[in-house]
Amino acid sequence: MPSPGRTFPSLAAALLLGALFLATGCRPSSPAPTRGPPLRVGLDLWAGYYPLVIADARGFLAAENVAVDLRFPQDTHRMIAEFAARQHDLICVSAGDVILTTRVDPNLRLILQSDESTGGDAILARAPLTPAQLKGKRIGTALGGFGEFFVRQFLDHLGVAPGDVILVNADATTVTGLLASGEIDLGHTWEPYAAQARAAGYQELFSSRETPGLIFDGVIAHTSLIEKRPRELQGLVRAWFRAVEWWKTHEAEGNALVEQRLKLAPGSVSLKGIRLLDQADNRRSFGPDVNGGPLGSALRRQVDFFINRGALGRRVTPAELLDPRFIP
Amino acid sequence: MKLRWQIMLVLALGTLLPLFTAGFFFYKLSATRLNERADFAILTLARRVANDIDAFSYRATESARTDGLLAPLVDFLNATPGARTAQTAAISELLRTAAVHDPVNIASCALFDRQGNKIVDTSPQSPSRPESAKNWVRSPLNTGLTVVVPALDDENYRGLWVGAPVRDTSGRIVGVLRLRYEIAVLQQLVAQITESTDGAAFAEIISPGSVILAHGNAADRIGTGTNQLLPLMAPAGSRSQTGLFPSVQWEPASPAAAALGQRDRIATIRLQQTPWILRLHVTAAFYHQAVYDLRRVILALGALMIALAGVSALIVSARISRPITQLARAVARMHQGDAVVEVDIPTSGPGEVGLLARAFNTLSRQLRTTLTALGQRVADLHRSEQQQRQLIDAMPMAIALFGPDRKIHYLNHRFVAWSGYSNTDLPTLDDWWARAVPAATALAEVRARADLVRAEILSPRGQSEPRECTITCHDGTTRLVECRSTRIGDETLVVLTDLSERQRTEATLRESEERFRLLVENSNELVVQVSLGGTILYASPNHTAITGRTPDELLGTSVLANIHPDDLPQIAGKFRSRSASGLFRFRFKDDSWHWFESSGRTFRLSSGEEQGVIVSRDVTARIHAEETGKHLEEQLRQAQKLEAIGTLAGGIAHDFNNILTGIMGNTQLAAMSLPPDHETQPMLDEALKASLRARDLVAQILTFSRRRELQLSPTNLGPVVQEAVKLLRASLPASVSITQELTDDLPLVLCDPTQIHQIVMNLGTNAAHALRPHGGTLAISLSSVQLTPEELRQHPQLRATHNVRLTVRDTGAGMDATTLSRLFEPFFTTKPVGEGTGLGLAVVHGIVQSLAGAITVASTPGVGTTLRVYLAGLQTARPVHPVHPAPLSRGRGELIALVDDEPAVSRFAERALVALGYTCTAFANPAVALATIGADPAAYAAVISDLTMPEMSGLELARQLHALRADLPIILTSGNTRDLDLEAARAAGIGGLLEKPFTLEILAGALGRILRREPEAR
Repeated sequence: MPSPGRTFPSLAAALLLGALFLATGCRPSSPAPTRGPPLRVGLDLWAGYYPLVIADARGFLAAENVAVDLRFPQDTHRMIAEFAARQHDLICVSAGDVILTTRVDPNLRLILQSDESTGGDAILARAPLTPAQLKGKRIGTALGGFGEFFVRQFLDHLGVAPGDVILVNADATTVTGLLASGEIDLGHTWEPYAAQARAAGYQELFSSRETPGLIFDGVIAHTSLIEKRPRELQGLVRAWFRAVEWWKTHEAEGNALVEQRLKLAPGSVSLKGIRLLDQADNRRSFGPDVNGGPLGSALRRQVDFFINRGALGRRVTPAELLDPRFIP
Repeated sequence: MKLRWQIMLVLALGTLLPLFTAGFFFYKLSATRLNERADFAILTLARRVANDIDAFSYRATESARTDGLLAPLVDFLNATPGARTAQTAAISELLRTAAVHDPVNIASCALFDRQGNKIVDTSPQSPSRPESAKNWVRSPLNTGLTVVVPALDDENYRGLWVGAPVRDTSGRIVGVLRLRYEIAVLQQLVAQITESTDGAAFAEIISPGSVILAHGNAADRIGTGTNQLLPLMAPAGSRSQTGLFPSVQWEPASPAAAALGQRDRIATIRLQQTPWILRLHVTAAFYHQAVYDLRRVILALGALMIALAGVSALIVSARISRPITQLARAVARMHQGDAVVEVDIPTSGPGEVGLLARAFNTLSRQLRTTLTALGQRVADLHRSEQQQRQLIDAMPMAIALFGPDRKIHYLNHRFVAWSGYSNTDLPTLDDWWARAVPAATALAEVRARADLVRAEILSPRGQSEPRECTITCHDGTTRLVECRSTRIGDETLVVLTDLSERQRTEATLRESEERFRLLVENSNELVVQVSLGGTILYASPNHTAITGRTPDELLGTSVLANIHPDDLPQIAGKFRSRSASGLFRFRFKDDSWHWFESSGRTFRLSSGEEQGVIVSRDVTARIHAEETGKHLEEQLRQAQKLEAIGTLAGGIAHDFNNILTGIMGNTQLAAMSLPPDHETQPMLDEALKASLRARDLVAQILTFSRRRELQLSPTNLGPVVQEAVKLLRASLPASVSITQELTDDLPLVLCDPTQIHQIVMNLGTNAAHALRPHGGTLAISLSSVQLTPEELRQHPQLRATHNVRLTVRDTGAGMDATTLSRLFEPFFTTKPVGEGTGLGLAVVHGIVQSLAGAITVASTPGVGTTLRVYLAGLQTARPVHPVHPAPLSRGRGELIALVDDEPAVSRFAERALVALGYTCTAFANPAVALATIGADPAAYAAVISDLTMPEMSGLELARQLHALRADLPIILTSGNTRDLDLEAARAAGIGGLLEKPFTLEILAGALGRILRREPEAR
């Protein structure tokens, strides 16, 4: 039994420690971290983004303790604006949209390169045309965006000056109709609309197979989210790659799974014209030389295009756009 | 309640109550100030967000308004429909360029004609949407103003629409320019607040129709209505009515939150550019964060104060109450009888507690002193009583104490021991007399005397006259006692003195006196009784027989009268200090001195006078024996020293003789090989002489160390001494005068003449050295002496008669005691370095010792030194046979085996043997020699072998050779013959012994003798 003389200093010390503890506002132990709310992910109906749908459906995300709220606004413009308004945590967009979004929200980073177009984007016409025949022709595409960029790649490929043709603002979904109505002579669209156009008898004059690595998509996130929830983003990226691997080996099953999940028409999902980029591809893209690599080069070319078109007032570098921390 | 807790309570309350009161008011005031600051901060933030929204609205409307003034647009709208078709693409590109202002948020750009028909739309989807009736088209056409219209109720038109009139240069409205922004653009403006506060604060934009246009915390509420502001909303168009705004107030965050009592702090501001309201919500927790922090700090400080106040109260109360508690406990201990109580409280302080502690400790110390003194007094009394009782019990008289009622109160031990009765046996005085005087007549007489005694003790004198009477003890024996009574108070003390015991004691004393008188008179020890002044009062009768002095002669004289003058100071000093113990010389009547050892002690006579008794014993014989023992011990020590030197010398001599053999032999061989007149002959002769001197020196060392066998023979010392004196004379300077006195008829002495020669030379040289500075006389005498008993005691090895004494006396500087004590020490010398070896007198000493003689020295510094050598003479004389050298013997080619591991000796001997006519085979290894000779022992005429060799000694080699051929003549050579066991050599059949170093002649002689089978000369 302790003597009173020894109990007293202990009591006094305990009181002092308790007082200091309260004064510093400390608590005995911090609460264990809990899983945050579902990540709000906005994505278009583009096969390159569907690995996330598969990862969700097959439980790859759950295995990584990541919950997502997949959103399909079906309006890319609106989706980007809402992303800037913090209504989405992540969005899956094309490289051009990544660059343009920096206009209103420079605090974003590309954390994953999802796919590249290997024929998914195409320029179609009623019949094949020689460069000379292109003069004065109306080419429909989404002006001001990567569609116009792709068309200019086409013109460069043929050695035709942009002033020799008439660029008409046209949504990819309407290209087949505009071609049919004669409002345009050529049109840029992508899968599955490109396949529909080909099925309707239109000829493919140019495709993204001829611009390897130039047209690609990715996932962007706000830097605030990257700082606050990095573990969940890492889990999401791992689950994404796992889904890519699975889809590549179970293509038909994967197609059906996405169609069922998104309530799409059977046969509307295909990997035709695109190449899913796996973990190895991303390691190469996000490798030590992001500025000099193929990814950096493609980004720089698109940045130059947007600056030339007056859509961009500041040269964005690949280094400030890419965040390689999440590539395992 | 204890005093300590009361003090603690008062101190704690006195400290904490003001602190708590001050803390409470401080908290209230600070909280109010913090809330005011929070309201200001919220309002400031709301104003900033409102400014951002107004800036956006301003840019959007101004951009549209100025774009509406572009000439191409006016021209396009004024053109005919056909012309418009041609320009549509260019105008579309122009509008798209306008949209580049904000490519993310501007979804489309369109141009309407004066009737509200859409002419151009940059959005591929937009043309299908009719907008002519929409406010963003109609209002600019009708009012000429630019409008911003949010549309949320219809998904097809969802967006923020901006309509601006297109005017020609005359200001006429020719159409409308419309921009459609994504509705999320407003959300972007409010989202930053939500993000920066982690959702603790958010803003919402509300249209005049109470529709939420943007919501920073719940995007799903965009487009929904809210009725919270309806009462506050001013009528449309009355932007200037801002009386209710800005405001800050509490509101439920939501109906669900309201049910839980949760409220938000909301700042409401009307926007300037649009008729919208901005409401900035801050959760109560976020709003009160600063107050919460303050409260936490105050609570912590309060806890700290409580702790400090508690600790302080504990310390102070302890300081106050502890001394009081200690005092209380000390008083309690004193109450329980603990007198040694003192409180451990600092008493030096001026405080009341210190004063109290000082007073208590003073009181305690005084009380303790008093109690200690009282206890000491009681103990003294008790001890005194015990002492008196023990005294009475120890007294030789029987004592009884009885009261006036004649009851016996006390009987001492002696009474009980004498009478055999205890106090229980004798309750009254009458019982005692009845037992002590059983005879009736005697008892009557006793009783009659008792009356007389009673009268005497009742008289003023209080004491009776002593009376004798006989009492009967318990065992029936009777005792004659003297009875005396004394009155002590009302009690009577009776003292019985046993007269029988006194009678027996007197008789015993007489017997004792007689016994001691006989003892003293017949003892060998002298006994005297002296006064403290030293006068002899009694002397034992044996003085006459021992000292020759009668007791009568001694009585009255001083006890120090016949003490030796040298011993008198010591004995007198001891006598004065009353210690008679000591050793001294006493003069007998015949004037001879004798050693006495005495002891004594003082005693006191019954008269009180102090006297002394001294007992003395004659110890002369013991003293002489002790002196002789000391002398012998010194001799033994000296002998041990010489033995050590001898061991060293013997070891050196062996090797040195081997070397000399080589030198001498080869020198002789060299001389033989040269013609006698060869010029080298003198040099070889000198070398041989030097070698012979070296040999003599080795022999001298061996002699000194007794490692050389002497050639003793009965010798007349006279001629030897004379010859030595002649040699001395030749070597000493003329300033030294030599006298000699030799007696003719001297007994013969068994000795080696060279030894005597060496003694005379060494002593003479030594004396001459002492005379060297100034010259003087060296006297040498030889005589026959008879020793005195004293000399015999000092030199027990000598006999009383037939001794020869050699005396060497000089008149030199003499020696001091230190030099004398080391005179015969080997290597001790007083000569300068290089002039003396320090061996001369040591050798003399060694020779004299070997001849069982003695040597004495007497020296006085400045007078001279005399050395005397005593040698025992022979009782009868023996004829002396002179030794003649044998002729040089030569060989005739006999084969001689020579075995010696010393190459120098071996080479010399081999050459010598060849020179003498022998054939020689030399061996350095005895084992090889044994093998070779053993192969054909008959071929060898003789073997000459060294005694000391490695692996096998010469003696062992001889044994083994004789085992092969028993008659093989063998000669052993040695550098130190003392190492040889002569008995063993004879047993091994050794025919001859050659002592190194040997000359050619000696080798030839020895070999010739052994080959001729002649006995050895020595």
